[in-house]
Amino acid sequence: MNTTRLMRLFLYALVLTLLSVNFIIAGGGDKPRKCILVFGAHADDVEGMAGGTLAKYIAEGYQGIYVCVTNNLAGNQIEKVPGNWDFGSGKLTAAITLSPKMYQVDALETMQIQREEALQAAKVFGAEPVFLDFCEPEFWMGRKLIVYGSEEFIKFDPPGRKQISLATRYSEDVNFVVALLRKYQPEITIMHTPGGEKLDHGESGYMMYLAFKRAISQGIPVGKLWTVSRGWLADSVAQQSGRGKPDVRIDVRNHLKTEFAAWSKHISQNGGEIEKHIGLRRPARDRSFEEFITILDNSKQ
Amino acid sequence: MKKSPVFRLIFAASVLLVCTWTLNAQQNYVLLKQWGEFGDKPGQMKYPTMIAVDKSSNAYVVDQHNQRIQKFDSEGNFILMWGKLGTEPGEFTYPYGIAIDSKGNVYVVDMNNNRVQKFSPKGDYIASTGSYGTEDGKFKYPYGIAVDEKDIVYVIDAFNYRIQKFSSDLKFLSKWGSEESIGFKAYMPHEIAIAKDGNVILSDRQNHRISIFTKDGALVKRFGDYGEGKETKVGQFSEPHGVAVNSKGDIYVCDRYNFRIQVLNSNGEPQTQWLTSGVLDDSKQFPIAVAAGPDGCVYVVDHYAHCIQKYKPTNTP
Repeated sequence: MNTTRLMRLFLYALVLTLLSVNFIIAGGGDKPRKCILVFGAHADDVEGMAGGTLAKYIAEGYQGIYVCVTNNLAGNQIEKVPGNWDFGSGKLTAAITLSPKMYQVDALETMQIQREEALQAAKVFGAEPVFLDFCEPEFWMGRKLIVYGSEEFIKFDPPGRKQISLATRYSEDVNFVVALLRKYQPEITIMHTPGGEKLDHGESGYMMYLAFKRAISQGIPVGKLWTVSRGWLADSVAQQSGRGKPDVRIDVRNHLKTEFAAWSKHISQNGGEIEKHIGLRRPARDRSFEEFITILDNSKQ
Repeated sequence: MKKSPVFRLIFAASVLLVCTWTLNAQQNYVLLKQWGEFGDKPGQMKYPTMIAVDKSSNAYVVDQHNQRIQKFDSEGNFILMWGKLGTEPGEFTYPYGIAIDSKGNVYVVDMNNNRVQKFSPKGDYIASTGSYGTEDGKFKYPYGIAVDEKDIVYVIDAFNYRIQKFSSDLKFLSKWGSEESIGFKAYMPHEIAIAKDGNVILSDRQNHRISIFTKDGALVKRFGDYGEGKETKVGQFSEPHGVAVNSKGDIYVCDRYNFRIQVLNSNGEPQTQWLTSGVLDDSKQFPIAVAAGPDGCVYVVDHYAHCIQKYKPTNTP
């Protein structure tokens, strides 16, 4: 065997190795179908952001991934059960428990309740639920709100990963989300507005932005990253610049039933009657279309 | 014989005195001892939940955020502890309920691992059962646990809305508690106890009621209603949590947002009560669990004060 043949063999081996490595890094294997991943901060945010879009794409054959970024320590009012809440006044009506107020329940119970509700909601969509368990910055202890950084918060040491805004600073946590993208290789990923309307929402959005960029740099075949246009992006001043305008418009009229059915599974948050709940918002948003802004597009790579 | 006015006066005063004494002679409870503080050293605790007391008045405490069980003698002296965070046998992820069988074995509800583990009195692992799910023998967040006189184990399977029964070797036996079968939906029930007659007592927390069932789940009695604050009457509850039964059959209920223990007779009629933190307010100190010792003493867990309180009944006026 001469030197030239050896060189050729070496080159073939090298190319094959590189292809294999890329295949492994990218998650490998046959992707059975296209995937849409919705990255919601809390239980029920997936529905609020893109419930109709998720339902539509799943109906079209996509694999749907329903992500709950935080561990849902807070935000559970256990008295909100169907028929137990007057959506107009925001007060209890035929209270099952006869308690005059809607008290929050303790942190661990809240996590359990909201996780169970999210599991049921994901099932309605036909989506795969994923819980990332980044820690929320507040929770209820008895009837007292405990906030991040307080002595009580530190003592309670709630279960979960870092608080999400801190996690965006750490490579290991960003890589944790990159691993999610590597696993599912979504063609479409939808996130909150980075720096958006709520602390956890905005930070979750920023986390996905960081992870998505890193995924692209690692050759992971992710497609498009869309964000909802909320908070400061929807601000009238920001809109004057011409930026922050949605470039994606999804007709979800045929999928509102699924969206509302899933959303209503979050009983502890909306009383199990989401249409009444969102009907209270003024002005009520037309939910026939869901609009997004393309933040990153790796689909042509 | 004609009685003198002086005699009549003395007689009337005596009757009044006896009546007054009788009325005031209801059982009172005095704090004997308190132990525990926040920390992870032996004897310290982080957010203790339930408690069980054995035949020798040793108290086993679920030290929830330390992911362990601690055993104390009746004076609160630390004896031993076991467990750490994890999913392996003998490890816990937010344990919640605890109960003891006739042989002194200890059953611990390993809440976020969705299983029940059985240990020897020294904490040696014996067996476990359960995982997340809806099938028989599986759980969606088990909470309270109780063991009857035949060592049948009852577990509150909270998010499956049922009670599951197991043999002492943790083999599934039966289940009950659906809304259809009991006539109402138990709403975040947290603790369970065995009555002296063998019936099962359930604290139906968010319904602010106590329910008594037969061993097979037939509703015998349901009592209590919502009451909170200064005007609250005995027999009313605000999120009743822990329940226990003493050797006479009296029922102890942790009425947590009224910051008190209520004592009921076996028919559910209020007998007496006491404030565990001494004040009626919305502080974060309140009773979450209670156990009755063989010596007649009552052990109360204060979840947010990280301590155990031991009370002794007295009949003094």
